[in-house]
Amino acid sequence: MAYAQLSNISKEYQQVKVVNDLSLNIYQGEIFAIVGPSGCGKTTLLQIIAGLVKADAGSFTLAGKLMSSVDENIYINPEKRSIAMVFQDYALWPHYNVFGNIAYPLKIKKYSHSKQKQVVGELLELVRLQGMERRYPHELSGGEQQRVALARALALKPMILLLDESLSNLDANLKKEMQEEIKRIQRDLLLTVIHVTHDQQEAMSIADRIAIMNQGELVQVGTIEEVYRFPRTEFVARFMGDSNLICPKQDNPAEMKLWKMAGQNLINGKAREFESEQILVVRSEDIKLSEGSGHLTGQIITKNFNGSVINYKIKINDYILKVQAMADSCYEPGQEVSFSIMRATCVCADNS
Amino acid sequence: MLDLIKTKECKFNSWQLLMGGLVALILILVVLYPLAVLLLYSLGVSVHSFDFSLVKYWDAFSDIKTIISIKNTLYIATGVTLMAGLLGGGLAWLISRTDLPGKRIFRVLIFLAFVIPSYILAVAWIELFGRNGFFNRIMKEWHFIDEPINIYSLEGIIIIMAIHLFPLVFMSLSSALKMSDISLEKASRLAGAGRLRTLLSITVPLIMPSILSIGLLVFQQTMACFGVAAVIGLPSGKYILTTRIYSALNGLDLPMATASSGILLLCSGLVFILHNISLRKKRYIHVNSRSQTPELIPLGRWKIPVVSGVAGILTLTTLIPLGTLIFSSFLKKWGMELSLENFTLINYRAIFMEQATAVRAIRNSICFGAGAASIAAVLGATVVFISNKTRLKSRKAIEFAATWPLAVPGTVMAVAATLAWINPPFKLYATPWIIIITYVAACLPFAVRNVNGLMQEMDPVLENAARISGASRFQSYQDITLPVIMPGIRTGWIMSFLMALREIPISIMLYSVGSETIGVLMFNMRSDSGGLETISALAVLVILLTVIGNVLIEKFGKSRMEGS
Repeated sequence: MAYAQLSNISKEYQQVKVVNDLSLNIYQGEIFAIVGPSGCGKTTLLQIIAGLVKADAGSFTLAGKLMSSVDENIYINPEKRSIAMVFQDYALWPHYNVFGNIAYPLKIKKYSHSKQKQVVGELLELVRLQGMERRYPHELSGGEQQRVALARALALKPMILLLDESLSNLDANLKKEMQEEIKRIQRDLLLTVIHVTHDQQEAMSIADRIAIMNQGELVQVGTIEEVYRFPRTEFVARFMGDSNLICPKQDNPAEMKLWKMAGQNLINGKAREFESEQILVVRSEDIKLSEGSGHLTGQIITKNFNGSVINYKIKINDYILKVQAMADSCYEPGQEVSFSIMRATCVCADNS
Repeated sequence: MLDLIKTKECKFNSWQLLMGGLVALILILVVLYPLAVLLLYSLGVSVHSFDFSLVKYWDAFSDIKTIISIKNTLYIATGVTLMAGLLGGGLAWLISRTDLPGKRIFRVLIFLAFVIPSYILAVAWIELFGRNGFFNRIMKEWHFIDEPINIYSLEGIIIIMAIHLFPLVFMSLSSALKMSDISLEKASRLAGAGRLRTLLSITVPLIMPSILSIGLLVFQQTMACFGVAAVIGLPSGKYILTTRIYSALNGLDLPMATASSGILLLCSGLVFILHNISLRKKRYIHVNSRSQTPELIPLGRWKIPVVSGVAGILTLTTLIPLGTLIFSSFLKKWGMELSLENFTLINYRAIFMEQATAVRAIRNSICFGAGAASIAAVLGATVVFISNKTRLKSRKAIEFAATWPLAVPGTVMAVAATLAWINPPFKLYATPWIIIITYVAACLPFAVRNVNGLMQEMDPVLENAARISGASRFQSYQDITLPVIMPGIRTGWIMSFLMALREIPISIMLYSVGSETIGVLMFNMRSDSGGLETISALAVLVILLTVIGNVLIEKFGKSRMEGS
């Protein structure tokens, strides 16, 4: 039984369908990521869940309780939903200090002052900001503001926690640290989390399940591994990780050769020859380079050392192939290499 | 459940409508009604008669004095704009872009020039350069000059108004220079342009929108000036539009007063609209949010002449007038020998305790000012709320009506109020209420503008965060929105109050016995020549209050956001 259930949600702004007949189930205690390019409607979807935006059609149920339904004309105000949210720019109130910000939801619920103090103290310990009660938002660093926003969101033990691009403004190291922090807190409190982001790397490292969204619709929903290994469409394949997309083009012999080679190592389905709506996806890490001549050869044009791996670009006639190799590989630009494709998946072309 | 939601939504909508309607009604009564009565009257339409004609304007234009006063108005407005622009712009560039020493002191002096009300500055200049002024007396004694310098001329008005308004130009252009991207100037230097070339082809064009809009503002403010034009221009028979309106109203020549008001309103309104357009254009200039420190241009061998020049100018614009006023306020009688036994505190005792009209005027100014400022603050905040947070169709019209008084010179407002509130059903003439209501109209733009800035800067997500935290819509307005805009409300209140303290044309044309204000007192004392020492004491009091007010704005008018 789904914990949160979105059914046939639609929302239009000025004749543009931002969310289009979307249905989604989210289970209790999971971190669910919604990923998509900016403007795909993911933030609107989140705001519909929170109750900050009213949907034009569809319904939303949380823990068996109907939160909004256009057909039945039901709409629970955001303050009555017990859903919490961490906003992109944290939305800390500048005129309240840390204590005031975190205690605000408790104050609304008329907690006694000593109870407020106790809860805020626990929350600050949880997000590791003890002793910062008297600071004002502008006196905090980005990471600290983020933690305050998180503590505020957790104050009332929400049924669901929404993260709206909450990690996007942090630098790389801080982002990693906060991801681990959020995961730890989520496990400790058995929280259900919906995390919206445009960054697939971030989504992969934090979520249990993921939904790829494009132009108001969900393109694919599944576990991280499923979506990464078996992208269903060209869009998902392009969006998730570094991949080579190979179309069967009659006028490009190199690409035809690649297509045939990849087709032999398909892990799903079978490549039907020369079917234009079928595209083969080869992850850059699924290509093996070797010296000398082999079945297929190309010339290395760029080399990009990235610490743990090296990214090459290899030119095969008119086709540029992206390859990720171990850091101990030692090919130089200009060198001829042969390669073999270990694994490929087959997806539908988007324009079909 | 269904009914509950419906009624809640309805409640908010009808509440919106009620609030919008109430505010619209007040604005119509306070702002639009008087102006409409004025314009209609000037076109021959009133309660008693309805014969639409341009005859009043025709008569006004066939009087050569009207033409002269229009010419004079444009002459001084142009003169002041050029002079204040050069002075303020030059100082802004010197202080923000060169290694001029003593910047902090110069800034304080410019700020002090800003807090001296224009009329009081004129009084100081009369005390200096009047027939019996300090300067002329000293010069004559030492036989430097035979004829005293004559300040009672249009050029005198230009100099005084330019000194009064150049700090505005300075502040506006300083912040424009601070905001404009320094790297653009550095790029120009790297592209091979010299310092002067960079200044003329990069720096100035970048802040051109700011130059234009502040120039238009100065132009409009000068057209609206009354006190200075009266005290300097009238003794030598030089009229500008505001003083012409005043004397027409005094001579009970209502057709002339309303027609001249119509002309002045038209000119002022045009410049105001241009100013607003220039403000809107300003958004497109490239601004840099990161604060970069510019590489200061060394003045080199010019340092000493430039410093002494700036120091000299600011001494003349600020220190000498202030010193003169303070000095005169301790004199027993204006024109007496400058010796120690003629110094006294009697003037201060008079205005605070002995002279009944002075005591009353100070009390009235404070009461009217505080009352009008409070009404305007509440009304202004409500207007901003309506225009930003509701979906009423007329919300932008409401905001426009509330800021429109900026375009209306005080003199015109006073004539309009006279016509509007003299007859039943709204018979307020000869009561303090006519002054208070007109103050409210004049103060509204301050209240609206100061709050509007903060409200528009405020991220609506802050309110959403409160909703998510469990607050109802009203609760989120009360807990989040109101505290965030509070600094703007406070600043607006103080600015309104200060305006009421230094304002002359509205109260001089609307007061009656018992409702005199500080402005009335100072303006009338001029006529019985002996009053300069008492005016000086009052002036010192007003300047002190203004300084305190501005310090309070600095301290409490800043939102916490700005600290980040």
